[in-house]
Amino acid sequence: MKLKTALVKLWAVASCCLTFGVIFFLFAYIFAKGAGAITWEFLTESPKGMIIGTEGGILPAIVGSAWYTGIACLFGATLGICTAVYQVYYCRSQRLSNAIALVMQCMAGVPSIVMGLFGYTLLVLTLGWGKCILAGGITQGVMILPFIQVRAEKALREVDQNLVRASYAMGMSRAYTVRRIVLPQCLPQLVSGVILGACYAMGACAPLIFTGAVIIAKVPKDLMKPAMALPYHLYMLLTQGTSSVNAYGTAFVMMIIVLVTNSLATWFAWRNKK
Amino acid sequence: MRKTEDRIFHALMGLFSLITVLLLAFLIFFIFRESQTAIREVGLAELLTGDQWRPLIYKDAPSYGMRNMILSTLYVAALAVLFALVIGVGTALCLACAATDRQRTLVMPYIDLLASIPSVIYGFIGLYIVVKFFEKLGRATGESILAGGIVLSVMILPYMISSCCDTMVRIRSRYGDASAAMGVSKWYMAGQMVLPASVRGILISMALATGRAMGETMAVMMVMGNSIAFPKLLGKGETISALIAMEMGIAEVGSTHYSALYTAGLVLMVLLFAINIVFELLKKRLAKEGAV
Amino acid sequence: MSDAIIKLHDFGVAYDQKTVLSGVNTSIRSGRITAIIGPSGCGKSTMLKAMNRMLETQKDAAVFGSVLLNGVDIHTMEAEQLRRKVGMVFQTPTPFPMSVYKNMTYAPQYYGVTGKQELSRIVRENLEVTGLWEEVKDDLNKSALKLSGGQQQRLCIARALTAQPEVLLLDEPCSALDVKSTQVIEELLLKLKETYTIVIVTHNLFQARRIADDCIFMLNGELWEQNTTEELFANPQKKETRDYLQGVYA
Repeated sequence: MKLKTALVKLWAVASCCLTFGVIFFLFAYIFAKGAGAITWEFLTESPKGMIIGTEGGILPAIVGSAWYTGIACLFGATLGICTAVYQVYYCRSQRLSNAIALVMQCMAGVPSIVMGLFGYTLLVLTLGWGKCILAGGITQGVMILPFIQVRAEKALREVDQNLVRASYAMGMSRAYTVRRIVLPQCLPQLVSGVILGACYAMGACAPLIFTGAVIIAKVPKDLMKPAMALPYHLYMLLTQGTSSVNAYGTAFVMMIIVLVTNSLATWFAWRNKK
Repeated sequence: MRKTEDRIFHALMGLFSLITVLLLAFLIFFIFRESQTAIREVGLAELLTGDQWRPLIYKDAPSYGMRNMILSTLYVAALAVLFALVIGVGTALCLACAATDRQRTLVMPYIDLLASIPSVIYGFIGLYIVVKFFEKLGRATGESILAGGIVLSVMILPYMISSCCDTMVRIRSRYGDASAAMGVSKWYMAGQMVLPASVRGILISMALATGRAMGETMAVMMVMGNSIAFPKLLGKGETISALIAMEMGIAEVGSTHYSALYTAGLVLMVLLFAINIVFELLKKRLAKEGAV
Repeated sequence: MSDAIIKLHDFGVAYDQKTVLSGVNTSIRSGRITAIIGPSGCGKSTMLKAMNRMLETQKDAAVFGSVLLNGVDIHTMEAEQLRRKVGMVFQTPTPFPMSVYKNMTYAPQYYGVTGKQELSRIVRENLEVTGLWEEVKDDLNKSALKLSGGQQQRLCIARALTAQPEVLLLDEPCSALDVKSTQVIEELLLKLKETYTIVIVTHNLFQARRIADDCIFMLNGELWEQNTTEELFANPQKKETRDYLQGVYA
């Protein structure tokens, strides 16, 4: 029994060290290798070179990713949060609520590449938009919708129900209560959920391959035109075996975005708890 | 006045929820519709069990068998879940039983951070570290199912850990005092009580992780070599999602090839669904046996 | 008193700088049942938990003064050693989510008992003491969570006994149980005091009177009055004690 317990301890502690070692390594590796690639030119110029991307910068990809992510958040957050509000405060039947939860679970389980297929056939082909920022953004929006909805629903349910009941007891309508009591109470969690969703969308490449992302484009100005995206650019740089300096640089930028968005999200979530 | 406002608000929320639900319906409908051509022309049996995928060879009849891709997907996902199970459950046990509440809240965001890293970055590091490592060991090419499994396991690790950790913390907070009051050590408690009691929770997290692993595209695509061969541990392979990502760009819209790729997407979804059912049944079975 | 097994000297506890227990001096006599009574929030559970250092698993509890077990300061002992000698049963029954048998072998296996026969003997003897043996002997492998509330609490007592403690601490063990189960447990405690020293926190004055030999009355984090149960109930020395016994605080 002593030996068994010692083995359990060894296994648990070793796995824990391995996990945190990997986390540390991932960031340290990208930061150490990528920091050197970051120059003002890298961040403000378009990709150049005989093979695209070996020289120049990644500005169009940064701006493109910002567009995709912005549209995805707008779409995903609107639908996600409204669905959550409906589920928690309006829908009276438990069955309907369970059905919505099931739909969300299924949607969250759809692989991102299948999301890409869906966006391709519906937005790009059937609606005839062609490959464009809007199609890519909305496809990503569908992908992060359940992600945001689940977090929003949790936040809404955690609101002190005594406050809600007190508001109803004063004859306030549900809409008024939701607007004045519920949403202000859980705003930090909602924001935190949307930020994490944005981070997820920013890094997702699979839904964009057929719906919007291209190898090279100018800094985007038109929503109905395709644009570059950071993850796709990184993928291209790697598979074509071109400049690994710029690949590290691109990865560095993405990791910074991940760090910043996650810190923001954590900060928002913690702030509310205090 | 307020009443009208409430009605409008209600209608609006209802409408948006409806759109959300319809999105899923549309998704299933479109994937299903687009895959019909291939199913009709090639036949489902051939699509699922054929071992030849030659969509672009025109002198022979093209063939669309995705057996190897299906097997590769399952193989690499199983490997990843296995690795993540060993490391993830261990980590969760350590966090749940040895760390204080404060330490845990401090450390959890870093685990979540792991889940936020984009999959291309995992692919990138997999390519430059894992694949290179295998090549250093003397293999001609490091791109392999094993490399894919390793990279994927790190990607699903955070889901595994946070889900298992939740279960274990719940068990510990409920029974931890009773165990401590008998004078046994926390590691004895971890091995003899917390671990056996969280089997169901572990199964649930495995289902979650398997889903993630099978749906993942970019990272596996970058480290597995994408060869349409029968999967071997150290050989190259191509998953269903990688197949779609690689070939959708070259498939002519409306062609059998195009449709076959949608069928691949459909197959992937059905596989995920089936695996979830299997885990659900396992869970029920365990409940029946009274293992809590 | 020479037969005191546990002694508290100027004992006090504070959570987050808020004092919940102070200046407690008392002795628990061995081989007897001591009841700790008092209105809720008076610190009776805190005092009980201090006796096997279960306070340490909670929040930021700061402890002052000393607790002696057989003359040894418990804070110089290892917590595990102490808890082996001073067992505890909680308010809500906490059978582990495993079989009855495994619940009973949990502690013995930790203490190095390996033989199957030896383990079975420990399981059987302790279940017999608590009267549970007859009820579960045919199905020792069934999940402990399937027992009734009263059975679960008796299992917890039996489980605590498997560690072979000298003292058994019980924190309102009957508050979650029905009258019948409460009666069974009270009879059990009376039987157990021949072998073990028992300290029980209870909010039920009748229960204290029925089973306790000694009684400690706590109020506002202080030990207000202590005496044999008979004396305390018949002749309370202080006004507050009399008020409480007459139901003013309840």
